[in-house]
Amino acid sequence: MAEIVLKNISKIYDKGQRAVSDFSLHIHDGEFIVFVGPSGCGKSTTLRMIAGLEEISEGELWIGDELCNYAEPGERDLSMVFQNYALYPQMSVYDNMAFSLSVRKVPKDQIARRVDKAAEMLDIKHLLNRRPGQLSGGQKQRVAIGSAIMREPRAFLMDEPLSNLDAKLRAHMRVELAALHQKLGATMIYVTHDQTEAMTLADRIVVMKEGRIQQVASPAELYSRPTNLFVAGFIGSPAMNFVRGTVEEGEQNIVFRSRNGLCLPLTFDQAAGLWPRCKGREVVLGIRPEDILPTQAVNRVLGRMDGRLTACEGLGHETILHLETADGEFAARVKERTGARAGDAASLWVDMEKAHFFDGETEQNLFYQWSDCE
Amino acid sequence: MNQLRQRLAEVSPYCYLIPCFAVFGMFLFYPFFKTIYLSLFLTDKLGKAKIFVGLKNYSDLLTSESFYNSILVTLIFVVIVVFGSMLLGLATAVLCSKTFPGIRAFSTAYALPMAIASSGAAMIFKVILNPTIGVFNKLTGLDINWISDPRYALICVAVLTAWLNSGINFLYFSAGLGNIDESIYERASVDGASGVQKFFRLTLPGLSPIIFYTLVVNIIQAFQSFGQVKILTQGGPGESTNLIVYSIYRDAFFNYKFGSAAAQSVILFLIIMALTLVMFKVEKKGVKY
Repeated sequence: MAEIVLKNISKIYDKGQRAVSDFSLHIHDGEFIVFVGPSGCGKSTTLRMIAGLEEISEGELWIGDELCNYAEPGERDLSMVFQNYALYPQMSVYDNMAFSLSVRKVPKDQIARRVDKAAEMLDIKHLLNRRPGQLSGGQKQRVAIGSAIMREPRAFLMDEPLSNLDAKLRAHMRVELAALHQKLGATMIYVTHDQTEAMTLADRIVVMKEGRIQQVASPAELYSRPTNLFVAGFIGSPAMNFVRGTVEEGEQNIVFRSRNGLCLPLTFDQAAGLWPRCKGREVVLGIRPEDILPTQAVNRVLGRMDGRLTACEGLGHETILHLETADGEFAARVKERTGARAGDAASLWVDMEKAHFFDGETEQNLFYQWSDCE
Repeated sequence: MNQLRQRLAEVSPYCYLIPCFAVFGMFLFYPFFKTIYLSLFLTDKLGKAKIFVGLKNYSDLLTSESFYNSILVTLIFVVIVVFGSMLLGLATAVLCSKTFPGIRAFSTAYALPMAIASSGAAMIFKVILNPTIGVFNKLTGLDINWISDPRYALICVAVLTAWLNSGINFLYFSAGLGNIDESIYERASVDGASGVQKFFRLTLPGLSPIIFYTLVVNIIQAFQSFGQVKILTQGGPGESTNLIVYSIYRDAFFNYKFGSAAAQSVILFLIIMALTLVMFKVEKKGVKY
C-alpha cells in the first residue's frame, strides 16, 4: 500500500483543450477517495493518468516515493477495475483472475492458492471454470474485483465499476466494496457520478467540475459545508433548493428578500455575517429539502413560503413535496404523512438556521471557504 | 374457390425461390453434376461425352506420376500462400490498428492487392523478376533466373499469390481487431503484460474466429489459383508449378482430355471439401469466443 500524491496535474489535449487543470491531491495510505462530478468533468481522465493509461501533460505524480509520470502502467503496481469490467472474453474466470500474476511469472501453485483465496472471499469459487460470457453483471463485477485484488497492489483504481448494474445489485455491491476496503485496508481511488456511492463509500470525496477540483472533504463535511453553489447543488438528492435575492433591513431585523418578494428572517449570526457585507449584492440562499418543514416548529427561526403543491412523492418512510412558488419550485422532504395532494395550496417553513448563503456573482459560500491547503 | 386460394397460399412461398434456384442451377449445380458426369466418359475434342469408361479416368489419375506431382506442388503452394498471405495480412492489420499520421495511405497500400487482377500482377512480377532487366536482381545483386529455375519458380508464384491474397486478409483482420474491446488491452497494461504477451494472449485468441474463417477462405482460394501460373510459368519449368487447376486447364484445353480434367476437378473438390470439414471439426477446439 502507498500514498499517492498528485501535484498540479493537468491534462491538455492536442488542440489545447484542457480536460484536467491544476489537480493537486494527497491521498493517504489506506484511504478510500472518491472522485465525483458530472460527465466530462475530468474524473476518469485523472484516474487514467494515475493508472498510466493517459499521459500527464503537466505536474507530478508520486506513488509512494517514486515519481511515476513516465512509468509504464505495469510498473506502477496498481490494479484497476473498469466500468465495463474489461474481462478477457476468451479466458475462464480462473485465467482472468490469474492473468496479472501469470504475466509476472509467479509460480503456478502460488497463483492457484491466491485465486482460491480471492474467489472464496468474493464467493465466486463455483464460477472459476466459466467464461465471462456465461456470467451475469454482478458476477462479472465480482470477477473484475477478484482479478484486481490478486496482486496486493499499492492502490486500487475503480472507474465507475457499479454503473452497469441494476439499482438493487448496485446497493448490494456498494456494501460489499465497503467491506472489502475494510478487510484489505487498501488505498482505493474510485470514480463515480453517483453521489450515493460517493457519500457511502468515501473517506474523502473530491468534487470536480470542468477539470478542476471544487472541494475535497469528508462526505459529512461536504454535505453540511459546501464551498460553493456547484458543490451544494451537486451533493444531495433531491438537490438543495436555491433562491436568489438580497439581504435587506426589515422592519425589525435583517432579512433575506427574494426577487419575487419572498421574505425570510435571518438568524443573529447570519445577519451579523451578511450585513452590511452583502448590502446591495445579490445573494443566493440554499436550503436542503429536509430543512423545509411542513409545520411550524418552536424555538426555530422559520421563514414561511406559500405556494401550490405540484407533486407529492410518497416514498413510504418519507414524502417529497414539490411546492411551486413565485420564486420557482422548492422540494421539501418531510417525515410525517401530510395527507397533502398535488394541486393543494400549501405553506412550508424554512428552517433558517440550516440555510446556506452564497455570493450571487462568485457563487462561493459566504460563511465557509474550503482551501486547497495541500 | 377457397381451396384454390389455399393451394396458392401454400405454393406461393416456393415460387419466390425459383429465380434463386434458376441462377444456382444454371451456374452451380448443372456444371457440378455435368463435371461428375463427364469424369466417367471419354470425350471428343469439343468436350462431348462419347464413351462411358466408368472410373477409368480416376484410376488413370491415381496411377499417374504427373498427377501426384501436381497434388504435391499444389499442397506446397497452398501452405506457402496461406501462411504467407495470412501473416502478411495480420502483420499489416496489427500495424494499422493504432492511429498515426498517414494511416489512410498505409491502409490503402496494404489493402490494394485485393483490387489488382492476378494476371496483371503476374505480368508486373514477370518484369520485376526478369533475370537481365528485372529490378529485383538489380537491387539485391543476385543473378537468379527466378521464373525459369525449378527451385525458385514455385516460390515466386506462391509469394506473388500470398501478396495478392494479403489485401483481403488485411481487411478481415482489421475488422477483427476493431471488434476487440480496447479496455482489455488497458487492463492488461495495468496488469503488467508486455506487448508480446498482449499479442499472444489477447489479440490472437480474440482474432481466432476471424483467423479460422480466413484460413478456410484462403485455403480454398489457394487451391483455385490459376491466373498467375498461366502468365508467369505456364506450369513450368518442367512440372514444378503445375498446380492442379493449371493441370485441369492443360488436360482440357491442350490435350482435349475433358474426361480426365473433369476427374481431376472432382478430386480437387473432394480434397477441398475434406479439408473444410476437418477445419470445421477442429474449429470447436481452436476458436475461442
